[in-house]
Amino acid sequence: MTTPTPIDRAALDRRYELRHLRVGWVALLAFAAVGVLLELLHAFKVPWYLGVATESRRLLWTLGHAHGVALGLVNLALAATCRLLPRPLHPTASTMLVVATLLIPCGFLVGGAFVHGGDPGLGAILIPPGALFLLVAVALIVGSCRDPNR
Amino acid sequence: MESLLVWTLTGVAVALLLGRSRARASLLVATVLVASTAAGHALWAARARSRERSAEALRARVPQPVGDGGYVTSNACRACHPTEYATWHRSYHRSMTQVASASAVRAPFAGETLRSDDGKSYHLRRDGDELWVDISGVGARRIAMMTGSHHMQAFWLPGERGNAQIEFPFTYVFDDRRWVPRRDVFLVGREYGKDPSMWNRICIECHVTRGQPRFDARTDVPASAAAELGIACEACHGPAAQHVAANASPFRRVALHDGDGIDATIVNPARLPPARASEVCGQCHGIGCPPESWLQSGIRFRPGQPLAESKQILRQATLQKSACARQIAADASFAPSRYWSDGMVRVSGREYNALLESPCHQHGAMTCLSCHSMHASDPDGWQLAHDRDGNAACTQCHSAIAQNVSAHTHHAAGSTGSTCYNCHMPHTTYGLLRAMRSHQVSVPRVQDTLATGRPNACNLCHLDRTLAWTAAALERWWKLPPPSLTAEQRTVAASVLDVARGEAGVRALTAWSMGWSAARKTSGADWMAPYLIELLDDEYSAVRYIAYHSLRGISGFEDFAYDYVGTEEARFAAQREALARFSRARRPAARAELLFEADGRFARGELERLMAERREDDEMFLAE
Repeated sequence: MTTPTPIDRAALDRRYELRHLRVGWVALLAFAAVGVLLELLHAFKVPWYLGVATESRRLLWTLGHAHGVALGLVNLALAATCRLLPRPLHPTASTMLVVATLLIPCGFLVGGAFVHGGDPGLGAILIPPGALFLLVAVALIVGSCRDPNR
Repeated sequence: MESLLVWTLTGVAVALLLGRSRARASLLVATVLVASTAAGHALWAARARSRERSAEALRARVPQPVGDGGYVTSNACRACHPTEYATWHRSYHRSMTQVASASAVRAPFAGETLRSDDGKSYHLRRDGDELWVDISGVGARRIAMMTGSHHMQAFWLPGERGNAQIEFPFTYVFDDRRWVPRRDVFLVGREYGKDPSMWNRICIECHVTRGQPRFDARTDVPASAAAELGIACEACHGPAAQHVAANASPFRRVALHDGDGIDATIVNPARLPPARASEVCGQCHGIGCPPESWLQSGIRFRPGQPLAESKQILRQATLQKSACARQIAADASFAPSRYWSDGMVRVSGREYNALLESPCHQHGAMTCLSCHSMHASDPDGWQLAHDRDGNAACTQCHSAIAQNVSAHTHHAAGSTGSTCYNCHMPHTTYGLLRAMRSHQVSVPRVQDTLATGRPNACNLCHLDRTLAWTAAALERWWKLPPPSLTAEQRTVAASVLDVARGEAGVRALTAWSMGWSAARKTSGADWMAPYLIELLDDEYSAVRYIAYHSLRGISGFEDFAYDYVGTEEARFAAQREALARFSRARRPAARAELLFEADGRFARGELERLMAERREDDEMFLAE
């Protein structure tokens, strides 16, 4: 990868900032709303969510909510810090983080919507690739933290 | 819908990955994502099909859950009552009937082969979470249901008609970690047949919640159903649909928490009047006369309602006046297999009958909940409430006795002789291959022993004493007039007479008491071996089982091997070996009442003489 000029770098950073700001806030909005929905399900003791037979759904949806909110915050953190990175952010890191923000929480939510006894539904198959994308994204961001003079 | 959502998410992810870029790496990652989703989809679908096939096959054969009558199952209870749910869930009530599965079974099902008397072989195996048996001449059959989970587990095979469940001919006994023929876990004489039971006719009454046998009145084919398999929340608290619906509102729940907590939409047995509270347990723990329609609609009892309206409890004194009088008159063994001759219940699982006959219930406020608790107890401690395991159960009412226990008991305070249960609730009921406490609160009297044959509390602990010794003590302490006794009753220990001449149920109780730690401490154990060895050859397999377990507790017999359902030759050989071991052991002191002569030798001839007087028609079974 060629090293961008300072002007290019600023434009690039601005693009990533905006992208992850949008994704982060949208994810926070969506998955915090899921949290509110889960609280309502608790308040009204909805058996479809709290019943013993649907224990997997409760777990998966809780995980979906938690991962969604956490990944939203990770996106916001990246937006806030990408200018500070010693090396420019790798474009694949940005894309993979966004895809992971979609696949992981949505995998939990869809997997929890169609549980089969103790097993999650088909949606759970989205979680492993999402996790892989997240790991790659984080690894690339770590790479961008390296000192450019070394 | 599920697939559509998954593929939509995958499509969005691919679009994001590719974006405006068509870089090779992006294409590769997107391709891998699509491929992994497709592979996962295929695997998931295959697994779902297999799971559905297995569930479908079982659904057609197993009594189905039905929600009529306002039952919602325990599934709905945990959200608000997690502690109560957890305490019930760990209890043996929950697992009284379960769908057979590898995750719930205690037996190995690891390729063992069992052989029945009729020559058939049964090869047991697992297939995933399913349990299977290959029966010679019949083929592979899937085990559909299991009952029991405390002492033993029985298994049920789908029958030919409807969803009938037919008894598997072997039972797995936990203590011994072995399979035994079904017949040999009951105290049953050879004269009595033991055809395979049908779960839908017997167990469904009490081993499920709101069981409905649903036998077709014309074809007699069952299409049985239940609100829930196992004895669940609604068996004791009643149907909960109204309660669940009302308490979906958080405002109502807050109001209840802030108020007295009493919710009229559900029954709490602890808040019922004493008679109604005990009837909740009595619906199953009593000898009942179900209405004629029960094989179609089941028992219609609801907690809080009078039990007599849906199921009459049969007390021996009123058997002839009961709705079942005709059936009882036609079955000469009905009363003897359930009651001692004075009407006291003698089989386990029927404690409500015993409570009804108890003065503490008749003249006081004693209920099942005076001692037991479903939620604040240890399931392995007979569900005795945490603060009622001991004299506290009795002294909550009999507080004056608690001031000076030994003045009442004439035994040292804190000793087993000063434990209320041991004198007033002795081990005179039988079930599950052991003696259990009578739940009829009574006073020990030699007269009762003479009239019924039932061992009295004193001689179940003082196994080495005669009836005359007991009668003298009761006269001295309680002014009970001594009964007239035969020469043998005056000179031979009561337990010895029970082993020699008692009927099978009495022999079982005596053999169990010989293994009871309190009795051994009181009576010594060095003299017991020859009697227990004698019972290794008892004609009742249940008596042999108990005798063997008691014998193993005696020094020198800890490693003694014996198969209580083995061949007669093998049992004789084991008995000979046991006698040889006893002859090598240190001889007990001379005691005429225990048939030990002056030189410490055992007078076996005298025991045989006494045994020769055992009644010829000693055929019985106990309907536990």
